Amino acid sequence: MSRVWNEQLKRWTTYPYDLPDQYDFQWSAIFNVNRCIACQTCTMACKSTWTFGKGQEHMWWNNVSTKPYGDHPRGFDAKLLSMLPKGKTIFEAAPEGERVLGYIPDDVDYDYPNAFEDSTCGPHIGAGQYQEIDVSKHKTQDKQWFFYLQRICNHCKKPACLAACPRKAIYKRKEDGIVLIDQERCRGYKKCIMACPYKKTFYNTYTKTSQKCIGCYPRVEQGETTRCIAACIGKIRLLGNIEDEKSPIHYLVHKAKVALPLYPQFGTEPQIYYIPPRWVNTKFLAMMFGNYDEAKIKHAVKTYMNARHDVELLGVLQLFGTTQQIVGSYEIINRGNPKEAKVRAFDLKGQELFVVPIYPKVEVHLTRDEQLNITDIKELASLDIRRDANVPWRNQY
Amino acid sequence: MLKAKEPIPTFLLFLCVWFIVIKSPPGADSAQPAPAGAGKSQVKEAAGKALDSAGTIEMKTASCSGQDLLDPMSRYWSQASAAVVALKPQNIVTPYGGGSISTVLVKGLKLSSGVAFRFEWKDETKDSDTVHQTKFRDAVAIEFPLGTAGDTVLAMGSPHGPVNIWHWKADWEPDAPVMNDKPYDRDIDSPSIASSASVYRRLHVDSPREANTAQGVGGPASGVYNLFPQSAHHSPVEDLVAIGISSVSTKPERFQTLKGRGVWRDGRWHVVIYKPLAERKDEDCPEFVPRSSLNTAVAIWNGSKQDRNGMKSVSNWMTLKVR
Repeated sequence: MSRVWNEQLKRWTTYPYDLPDQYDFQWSAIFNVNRCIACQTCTMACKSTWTFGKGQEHMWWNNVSTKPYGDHPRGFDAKLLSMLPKGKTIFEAAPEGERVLGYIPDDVDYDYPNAFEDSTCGPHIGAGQYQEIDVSKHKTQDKQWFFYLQRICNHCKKPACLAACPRKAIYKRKEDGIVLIDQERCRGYKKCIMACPYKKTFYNTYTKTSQKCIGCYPRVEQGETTRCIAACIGKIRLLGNIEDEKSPIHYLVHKAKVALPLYPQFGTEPQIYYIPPRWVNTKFLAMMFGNYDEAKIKHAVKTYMNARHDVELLGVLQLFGTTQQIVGSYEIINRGNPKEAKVRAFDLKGQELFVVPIYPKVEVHLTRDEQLNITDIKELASLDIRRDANVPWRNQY
Repeated sequence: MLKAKEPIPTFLLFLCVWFIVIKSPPGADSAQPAPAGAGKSQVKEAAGKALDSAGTIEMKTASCSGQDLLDPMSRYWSQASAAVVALKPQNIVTPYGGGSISTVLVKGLKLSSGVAFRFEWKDETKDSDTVHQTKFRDAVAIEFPLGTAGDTVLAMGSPHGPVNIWHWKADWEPDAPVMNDKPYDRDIDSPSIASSASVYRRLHVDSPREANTAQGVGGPASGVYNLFPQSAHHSPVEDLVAIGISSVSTKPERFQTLKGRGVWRDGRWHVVIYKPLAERKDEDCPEFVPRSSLNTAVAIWNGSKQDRNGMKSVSNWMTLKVR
């Protein structure tokens, strides 16, 4: 066992191998949970590119599930959290004779990738009642909530799959930090499936070898984003090199601190960072993204909600989904003048990709609703039309 | 002095139990008919000849064909002398494991055309299903040091003392369950015939014709040299070399000449591994020179106990005497 520094937990931990603390290039991505509508375009882009073969039927290298209840394989996180002693990583909590704490899901756990889709969590709301949402403040946490969680392999800095493989068939590429399984050396021991806390390695039931998300390395080698990121119609994803201080990923994670890793307490230093959903219970989010530290969640949500007053943050958010090239760096133009402020993006070689305005011009066209006798959108919000059964507008729908 | 009150002395009772348990021929209560040419269970011959971890296996010369010996129940095997080899859990390298199989009966025979080994051990479950997520195979392997070093490392050898491993796998036998080899239909929902097709009964599974047009029959692993993705194995035995922990590698295809056969009956595995003496010189194979001896070791995996990789029951080095 080696002693290694975990940047996300800010402490020394153990790991079976010596690994560098930093890479020249670490494949890393931001997923903005607030914008996802669970259309599964990413899921199908991945499936139709990489996992449409025999024996891969249950594999979803990319999946979008509804939290808090859903995920694929079923309940993977709740199960591991219940096994893991608080304050220990999965390496430190490894049982006698094992390198990593984990489990292998059952066949049935892979059967229902969309279980609990759109299921909410919170107090019971009776028939005829509605949840109050205070739209005027734009920052309320809802009593009833759910959110979509987009998951792919985290290409961790301390990969549990790599640690657990008795054959050293799993490796982390020096040039981009992508974690791969050598299909020539894999003998299907399923140790990686047992060890991966995110259950993003899969056993191919036909080839009897294990497979995982390959970070779309053939595209990344060409400077392009992955299939799931390129296909995202909600523009919620951004790929880059977190080790580069000029990268928008580095800015969002280390400077703005608006994006947080998924279950950092597992200790693998996952490299997908999430902008947490603003409407969800802070304590729950702290368990998922903050290593139980609610202050991190509050800071991230507050910063995100304040983005319209933060020209750099809003500028970086404009980079999401605007290009299929990997954005290597960016610059803010006319920072002091919101009307003219723009963000210019560069690819990994420093070539300009595009320039977009940070505050796009918005025109509001008001229309008059003759039946309700209202013009203004604020006026509409002030009317408690939902409870008034006599409002003629209701009958039209 | 015996106590007068005891009607039957304790040691006599113990003797009776020993007689019943050890001296009764195993498999005598079996209702299953023995196949043609099958001899009696060969455990009896080995009773009382248990070896400790530094035992000896004698390899006599037999006069029959390799094909004759490939049947584990063949009467030719009764002429071989047997050794009962003690096994212990592997606890040198993580992941630790094994220990559920405590002994294995090993026999060796030399022919003019090759050498053969027969392994027999008690295992209540036949585990040849590697299609399901949480299932693992039964397997047996025999290891030989390559070269002359007398101190070859037992655990997978070392760069200076490589080892040759012959690895039989229950799921490489022709009758083992396979994935998707029949079209998807509702009958698959019946667990009793789970062996015939898909595991994921609630998911869409392409028919073989659809699947074969997609990403190649074996998926990405079929494009590289790896025997596991092969849909039909020409032999259930794989020939391997290793130069240390994590290094075990499949020999090139032209050297994959091992043959084998495993029969699971009445809670026991009977497995034969046969090595035809190659016309082409394979340097990564021990030489079985008459009137010589070499080291060997055995490992057994019990699939129902989640055994795989280093999680196995292992013997120590033993001496193989070639007569």
